[in-house]
Amino acid sequence: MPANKKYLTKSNWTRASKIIAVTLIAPVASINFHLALAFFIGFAYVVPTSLFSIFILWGFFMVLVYWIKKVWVSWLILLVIILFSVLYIYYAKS
Amino acid sequence: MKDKRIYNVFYNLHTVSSITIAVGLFICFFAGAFALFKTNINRWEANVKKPEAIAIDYEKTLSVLDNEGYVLDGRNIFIGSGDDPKPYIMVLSQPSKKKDSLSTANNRGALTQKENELISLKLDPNTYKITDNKSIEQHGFLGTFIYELHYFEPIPKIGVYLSGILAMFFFLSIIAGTIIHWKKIVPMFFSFRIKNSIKQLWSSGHTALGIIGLPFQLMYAITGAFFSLSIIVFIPTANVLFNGEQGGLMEYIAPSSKYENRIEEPLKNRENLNLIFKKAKDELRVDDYRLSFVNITNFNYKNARASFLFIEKQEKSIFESAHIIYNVSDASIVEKKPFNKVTYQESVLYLLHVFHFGAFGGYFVKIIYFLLAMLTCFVIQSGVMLWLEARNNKKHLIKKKFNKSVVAIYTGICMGLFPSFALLFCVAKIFPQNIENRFNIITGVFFIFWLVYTFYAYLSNNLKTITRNALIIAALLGVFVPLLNGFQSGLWFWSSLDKGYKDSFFIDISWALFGLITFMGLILTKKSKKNATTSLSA
Repeated sequence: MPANKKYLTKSNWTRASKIIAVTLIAPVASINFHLALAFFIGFAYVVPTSLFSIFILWGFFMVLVYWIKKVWVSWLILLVIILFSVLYIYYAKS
Repeated sequence: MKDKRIYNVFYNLHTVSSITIAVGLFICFFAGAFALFKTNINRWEANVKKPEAIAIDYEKTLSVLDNEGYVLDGRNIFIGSGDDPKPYIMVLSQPSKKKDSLSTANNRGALTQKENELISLKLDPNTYKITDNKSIEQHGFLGTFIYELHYFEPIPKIGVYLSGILAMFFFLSIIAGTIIHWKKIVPMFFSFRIKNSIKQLWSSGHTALGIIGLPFQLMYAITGAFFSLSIIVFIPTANVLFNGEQGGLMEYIAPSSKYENRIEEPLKNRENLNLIFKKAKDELRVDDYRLSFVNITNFNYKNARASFLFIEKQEKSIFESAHIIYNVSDASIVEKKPFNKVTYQESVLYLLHVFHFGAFGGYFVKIIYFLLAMLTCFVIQSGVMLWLEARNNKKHLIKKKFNKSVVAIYTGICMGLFPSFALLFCVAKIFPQNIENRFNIITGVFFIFWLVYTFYAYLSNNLKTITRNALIIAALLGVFVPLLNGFQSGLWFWSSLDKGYKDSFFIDISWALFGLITFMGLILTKKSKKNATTSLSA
């Protein structure tokens, strides 16, 4: 049986923003998080691990976006991760 | 209440994302399953044995490049050997970003345009003539074509990225599917009900087989995403962590091909590379290597280095590579990594490769991979059938016709791939080897047949006939494959193994088996249909 429509998002805008979040924002967040982590822990293990873990974390963010009911909360989480990672990278490089 | 929302959201997510990627995913897995045997198929097509490992004369290779007018000074040059299907030498050198200051190019006049140009070519190992100056990849072979099809290479430019995105949505779809079945996962696994109704069969098959294939599919979702979208890992990492130096990144993921910035001082006289190669072989105690790759960095500069990577069949281990790095100036060792020492940095990229290509454990593992890929194809197709069956009621009456046509086209594309492959193998043996544009013709026949079958599926709109006819055509053509091979090359499957043509034998027997198993399946389902009142075949 198809899913009960009662629980699904009705607005097309919300749906579109979720798709944008999982295809564009989630990978950016995942990559930035790994780069910051590489500066934080050290390159030796993070860089090789990131080859596959970037995609696992991306997948995790995808699930997160659909798990959280309010779409702005998931956007906020992803953007905060990006912001903090970028700030840390900037700090570590300078 | 909250559980219910999550269940329904992920149920919808699983349905929508899966039905969107279903066809692409089926092609990935089906073509990918055949592509596991890419080398065997290439050798079967070219009627060649497994070639001996070739000894490359590095100095001669470099002098050939020099005669071609390429300026080699300061370059990083990769020289390797390939044997798929016939032995060849490949040379690759990316243009360096920086301008040479000490380059001898100025004295060369007209040849300066080749100073900083991409070198990517293949050489004949016997005559050292350039056979292909466009790419180091093999093109125009059957196995390679199927391999390229499995990541949508025929779609220009975006094809490979498309397959990467698809892999990510496959990942999402697997997770969503696992979430919705999480609570009943154990009873679901043990309840394979086939006697009740057709919908129940699809549903049980989809969940039970889906759970069996779960680790395999997760592995393929991640490694597939990596191979297609590796660019999104490499570019940010190299730019942010290593200030744009690819060589620095290589140190952490493929230590044998790392390189440093060059010291701007030309090298007066260097050691002979062939001698260094011999030294490297002795140093690592390599007797019988399968493949060897050489990376020469900062050629003809003071810190020029040569790194040798050997791949050898090792017992009891899936790690089978060793490398050693030499200073070219005086042949002293910079770094050495023997076969029995494994570091994390080199193993990750290597293992991603090994897992994705099933390149451990020989034929046994590859056949298991093949069967698991077929199982995944069944899970995908049964999911599509489930989607249709779930909408086969009064509530969805308006869209019923549309849904049926969609599924008919899906089935046409997916099922049509099997006879199309059988036809591709037949046509490859019917067309003589030396006609012009041969490869374009045979792939053209393949694509046209596939398209026609899809169109036929749309017109017929009967899923049972579409599937049955596809299987009948595939079985007929499949049985003809070994016969056509015998007529064309004289390598009959009963004698080819004795003559040492292992790959020819393997592909012939596989197609004969495909044909026979499909025929038997068709006869069995027909019999059971006559006996049972409820038809289960489809």
